[in-house]
Amino acid sequence: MKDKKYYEDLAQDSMLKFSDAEIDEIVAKQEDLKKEFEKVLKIDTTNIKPLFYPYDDIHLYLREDEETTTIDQKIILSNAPTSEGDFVTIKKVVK
Amino acid sequence: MNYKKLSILELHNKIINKEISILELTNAVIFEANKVKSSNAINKMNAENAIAFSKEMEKVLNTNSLLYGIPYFAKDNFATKGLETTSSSNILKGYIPPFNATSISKLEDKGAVLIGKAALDELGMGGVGLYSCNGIITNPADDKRIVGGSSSGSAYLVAKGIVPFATGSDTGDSIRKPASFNNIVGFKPSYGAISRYGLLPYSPSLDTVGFFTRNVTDMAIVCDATFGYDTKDATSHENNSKNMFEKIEGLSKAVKFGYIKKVIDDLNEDVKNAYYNLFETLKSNGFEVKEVEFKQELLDSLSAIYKMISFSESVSTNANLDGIKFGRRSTGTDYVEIITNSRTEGFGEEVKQRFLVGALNLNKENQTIYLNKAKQVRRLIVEELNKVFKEVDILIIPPTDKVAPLIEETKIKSTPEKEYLNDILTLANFNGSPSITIPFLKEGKLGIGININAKPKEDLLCLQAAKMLEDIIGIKNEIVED
Repeated sequence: MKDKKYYEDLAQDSMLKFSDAEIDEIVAKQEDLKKEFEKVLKIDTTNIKPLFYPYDDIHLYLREDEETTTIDQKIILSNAPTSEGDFVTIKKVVK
Repeated sequence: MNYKKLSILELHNKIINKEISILELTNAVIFEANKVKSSNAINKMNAENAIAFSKEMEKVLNTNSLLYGIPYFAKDNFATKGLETTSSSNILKGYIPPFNATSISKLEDKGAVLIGKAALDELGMGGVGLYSCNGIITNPADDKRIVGGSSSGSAYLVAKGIVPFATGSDTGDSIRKPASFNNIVGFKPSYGAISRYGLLPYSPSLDTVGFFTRNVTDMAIVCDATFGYDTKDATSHENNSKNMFEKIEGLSKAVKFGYIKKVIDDLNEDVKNAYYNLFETLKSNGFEVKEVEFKQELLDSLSAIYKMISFSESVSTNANLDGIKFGRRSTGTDYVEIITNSRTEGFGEEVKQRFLVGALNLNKENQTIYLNKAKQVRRLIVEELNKVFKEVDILIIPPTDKVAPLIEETKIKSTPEKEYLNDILTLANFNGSPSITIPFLKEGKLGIGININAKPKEDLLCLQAAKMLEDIIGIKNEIVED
């Protein structure tokens, strides 16, 4: 059983914060999840290659390098919560 | 105007015969859509644009397109140019895409009229309809029951007769399960048959664009309009299934149907009997129906494999949602805190918990133990399905074994040995098969669907089999009336 700190660190990896109550709930659910995952670990996969996509023939070629998509700067800036001039702005960190 | 029971084909005929005008139809749909706003099924209306587009289209009547003037809703995880796209997540509030998803552009080219954006379980995560940031969506036939998800709003609006079709996306069963709960048709085509460019990704090795309609023929029409290779989606392919509308009746009598005996036998008595009766009817119609084998340990692992793969992929596909470049930003003292707060406040509980399980699988120490293992088992599942499709052309699966559950029932676990039935539709996401749910049984206003699968890239065959079964079953064009 992993402790609370383990899950807090995991949450931080995904840039998320959980309250103590939420972490408690997650820790409680882990036992069920572990049992579920154990069903998979029991399956014999000796010499079986992992499958990343439904078909093995995906990504077997490179497309021509001619497709270009550009998005108007004004539209990009208008979608940003804050912007100034040519830039998306965030909090000033260097004073 | 009472258009609600009309199929795409019937609406098309009325439009070309000038019995109804496109503008009149668009206005009627907007009126009806506004009436169901309290259902939370709609995230955003596109009324002004829809009216302007309809006026333009009335100037030249394109009688060649069966979708000309046909109204639809898009699930709100499809990028729509100039129209807010939030995927029912607070973190994306205010995001206005500067481009259309390829499927949306294709529908526009055919003259289909986008009425608005349908709500979903946030970012496509959830199979219930209870996780949209704008509030819960319930079953149109019984508001104490779930509508299903994640394509909840789309299913609601089609089942209610507001539009004859809607777009959906399917990562595990997000189109096919709500179709079962709502007496409508839900199709997940082959992986890559329809471009995913502009579909906000959840789990790219499983995500598929698809649709809801109220009959199989209409489904062929929307697929004809949207199938095709797209250079903008590296996983798309040129599918040989073309002119499916014209060929929909052409199912060969040589087609073999199959089912997994234990799966059917694990259903409750009435539903089980209905399946066996149907198999007898198929046989009396000259079709071969046979039992196929499937390793139970693989079926029992479906839920775990789905979680291991999709939750992990979702962590990385949603890493761009940070409140910096677009969407909603929270306050903080530096960029790390701003991003952390934006994500913590912007995502709902279900999404955050899935991210955490995903992060668990992605952790260096777990990548081999869990994630790599899951992908090895995925290959075993696909190989098992390959064996099935060597023996039969069509695999019949129960999408659900009962009508839409009551909301409080969603928290109750089914008996452990039958739990795998809840996740059985994920089979077609793992191997990329075309998979369609059509209405099968009715209990009052509620229903239970039947799911039909073919070998990957055999979409036409899948639709033809569904059409034949629809004719035998005899339930189509159902709507939930007020």
